Amino acid sequence: MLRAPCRTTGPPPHRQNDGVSTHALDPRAGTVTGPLRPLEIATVAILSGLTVVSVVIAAVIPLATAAGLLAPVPIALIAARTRPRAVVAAAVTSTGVTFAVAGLAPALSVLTAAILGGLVGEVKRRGGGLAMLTAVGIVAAPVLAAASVLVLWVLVPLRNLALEVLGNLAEGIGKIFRGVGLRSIGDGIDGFGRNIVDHWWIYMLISGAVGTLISLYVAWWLLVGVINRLAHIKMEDTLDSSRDLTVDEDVDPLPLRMSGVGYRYPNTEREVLHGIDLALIRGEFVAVVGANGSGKSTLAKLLAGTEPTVGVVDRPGAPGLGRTGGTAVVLQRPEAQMLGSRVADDLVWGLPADAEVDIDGLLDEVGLTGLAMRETSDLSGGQQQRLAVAAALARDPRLLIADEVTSMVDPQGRRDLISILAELPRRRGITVVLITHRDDEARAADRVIHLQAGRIVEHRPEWMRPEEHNPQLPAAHAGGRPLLTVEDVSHTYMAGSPWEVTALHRVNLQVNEGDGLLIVGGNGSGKTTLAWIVAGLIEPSEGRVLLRGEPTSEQIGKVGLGFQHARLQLQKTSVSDEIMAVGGESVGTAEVGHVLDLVALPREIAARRVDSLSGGQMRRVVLASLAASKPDVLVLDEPLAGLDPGAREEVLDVLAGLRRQGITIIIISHDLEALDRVCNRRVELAAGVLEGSL
Amino acid sequence: MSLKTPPLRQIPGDSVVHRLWAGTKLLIVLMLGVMTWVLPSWPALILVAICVIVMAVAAGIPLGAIPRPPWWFWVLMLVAIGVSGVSAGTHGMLVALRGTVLGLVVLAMSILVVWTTPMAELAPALARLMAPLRVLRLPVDEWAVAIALSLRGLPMLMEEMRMLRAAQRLRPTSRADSGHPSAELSILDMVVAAMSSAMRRAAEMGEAITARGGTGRLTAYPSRPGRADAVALLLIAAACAAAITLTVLL
Repeated sequence: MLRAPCRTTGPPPHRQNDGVSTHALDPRAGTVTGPLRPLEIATVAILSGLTVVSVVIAAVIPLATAAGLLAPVPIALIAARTRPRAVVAAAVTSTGVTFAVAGLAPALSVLTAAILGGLVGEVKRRGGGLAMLTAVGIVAAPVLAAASVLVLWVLVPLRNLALEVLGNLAEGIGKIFRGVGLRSIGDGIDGFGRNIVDHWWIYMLISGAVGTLISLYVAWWLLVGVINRLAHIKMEDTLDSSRDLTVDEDVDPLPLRMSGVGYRYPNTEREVLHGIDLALIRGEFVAVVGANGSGKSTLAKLLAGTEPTVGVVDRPGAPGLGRTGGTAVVLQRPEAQMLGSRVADDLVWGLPADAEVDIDGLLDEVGLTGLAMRETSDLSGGQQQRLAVAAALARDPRLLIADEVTSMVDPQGRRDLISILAELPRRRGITVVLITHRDDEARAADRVIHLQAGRIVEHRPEWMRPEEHNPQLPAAHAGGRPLLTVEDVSHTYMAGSPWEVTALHRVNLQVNEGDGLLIVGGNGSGKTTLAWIVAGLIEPSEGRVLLRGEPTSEQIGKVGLGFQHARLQLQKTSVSDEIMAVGGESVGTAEVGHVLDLVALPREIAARRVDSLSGGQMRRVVLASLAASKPDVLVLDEPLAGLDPGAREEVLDVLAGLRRQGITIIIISHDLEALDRVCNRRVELAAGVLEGSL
Repeated sequence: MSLKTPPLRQIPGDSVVHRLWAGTKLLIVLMLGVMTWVLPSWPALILVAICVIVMAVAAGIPLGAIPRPPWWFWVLMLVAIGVSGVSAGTHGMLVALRGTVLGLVVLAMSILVVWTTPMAELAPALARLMAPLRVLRLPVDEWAVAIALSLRGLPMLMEEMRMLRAAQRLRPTSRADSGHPSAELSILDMVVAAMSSAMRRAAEMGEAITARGGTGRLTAYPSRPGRADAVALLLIAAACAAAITLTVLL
């Protein structure tokens, strides 16, 4: 949970790892004091964003006014799980963001939503129930309603305008009713309107107070549901050492010596690491290798400054994570590390205000010359990782830890990244620790530390060979019957505006029954657009997509679509409910078991909560649910994105299994290396144009 | 992707408006917004409309950027004006029109700010505008960081909402009385999915912040108000004074 104990003077502080289910609503969670911790800031930023989005959606789409009822919930979640300081920050953030993007009036309604959310969450945090909420509501609702009455009472011309418009409308509707002979109804509406105009403040007070009360109860109902269902999400910042952020310390991470070091995550039994002895000196390039679960990432965290549970880590000074001259860490997920909007902003993000940075020089060094003003979200995964390296170098670190930095990057990006990292010890005297599961990357290092089940073992290069996966595929269906045809499809977003983007240009494609088609395309090639159009979710600007002769947009659901982001696709609480919900009414427990077999998940998983699954399991549950819906064609958008190496292999095996079942699959990805093995045809999509098709 | 609403992104360009400090533009939005609330008269509305048009022309906003509201927007507007016309004739129609224009011009002003300002400059500008609050020992810098990260995450969140909706559309619907999971009400499901995804994202972002050694600078090229900003604010203030005078005189 979002808690980190205050700095203690006794034994090294350890963060509570289990806080989620038992401590999540613990009022003592408020014992954290001082500035917001990084995780709290991130939570405030993202959840406030959700509040803004729901209010903006409610304001823009008239049929979605109900979305406004959701607005208080994210802030309520912050209030229930953190401390008042974060709630205030969330109220300011959501109001400020809304003001910046939509102006004054929406900002005020966001502020109201934030106050409601704060109240609901605070009641929950204090362990109160409906009674307490009602008590709070009875006081708060009239006060909030009175505040808006007061505003209108002061703004006389605005009030007169609003009431005149309202009065005219009521009178006009009344006249129209009388005109068609419904005298009594017309008189009623007319009179009611005049009544409102005359006693506006009573109506406003009552409707405002009732509305506020309803919002409070709805937010409460949602919050309780959300908290119960999200109780299993671990939210912790595994790098945060709960150091007092306001105290300066002498930073000097090297030379580092570990002796007899072991680590056990709080409230777990198993030691992830034991008896680790190692030394790091200045300017060497060390690779740490090992299978999944061998303790590689835990070792990286200990090197970065997490206190071990046993043993001694000896350094001349503090590790200084992210400090100048200290330790820098580059993490696995490229897009998650982008904190600034433009490349140059991201490079300096978090540096002290007085730090001198040679922005262009650093960008040159990592091969991003001239991209300083580009938006970080437009970069490819490989470029984002190189930017993360540049941001690390801006801190002039002595020790740089790269934790599986290449696992989500395409082959070319991988080579670039490793060669940049390999240069650093020679050029800058930085000690680089590369955590990896790839043999070729480890080979670039001066020495290799091999971990196996939490211990350092002798390194045998041949041990690391990835296991051979040779999924047995049917020979290409040369004569499969045509199933899906994409005819001359072009698509342009926001045609005629300055943001006009032509995503697809005259794409023609034919998919036969039993085909496994791989569409290769990089960032911005239009691949996601193509996936959505094939699934019928977007009407193309030109051309059509026919499934068995009928447009797919008229038979949504016949083409199954697996999104890049698996969690958003899993919407039910438990795995079995999820599979049944996607599969439809005909899917019962037996079918659930069957499709779980198909994706090689144990049947027991059916009862598990969706949020307790790992990334690879989520992806496989999505595949299982799609298989249960018996689609004519399955379209998968980047099915391997964001998966660690082990999970990738699992998903690849599942895809091969589905192919063997005769399911027609279209896979859209930039990762041709791995996915080629499960497909029988390949076409390339570049800048919206399909090459090598038909 | 296929956003129907205007994207929260700058239209590239280098004009007087682009070069103004972000805080100035936010202040102008605030001033004009407050003025239309205090004084929703025709002179005031025409003034704000002129400001919007002048800024848009100066910034070189192409006509194609203007959002095209869906057909029902025009229908609703025409119906409202028509009904008011039935009850109070031309005067009624004008009053209804004034109410509609009021909402539109203020919104247009805000959209203009987003279109002419890099996202990265909004948060530092807000922080500077909130600087007086530091006297009360309020954590303004902390808020600025949260606002910056929130603005940074906004496009991704919009995209996620779109995906949630699409995932929903792809699901089959069942008879409500079947008792099957595919027939259940899904609002809570969607809220939970959105929250769950947001919390994971926040956890990752938190680690990324820690890896950078906590918070600090937000932007590579800090901008501050200059002479052009003073001129712009004075012009707007003068225009407001003129509108107030005109309203009183007419």
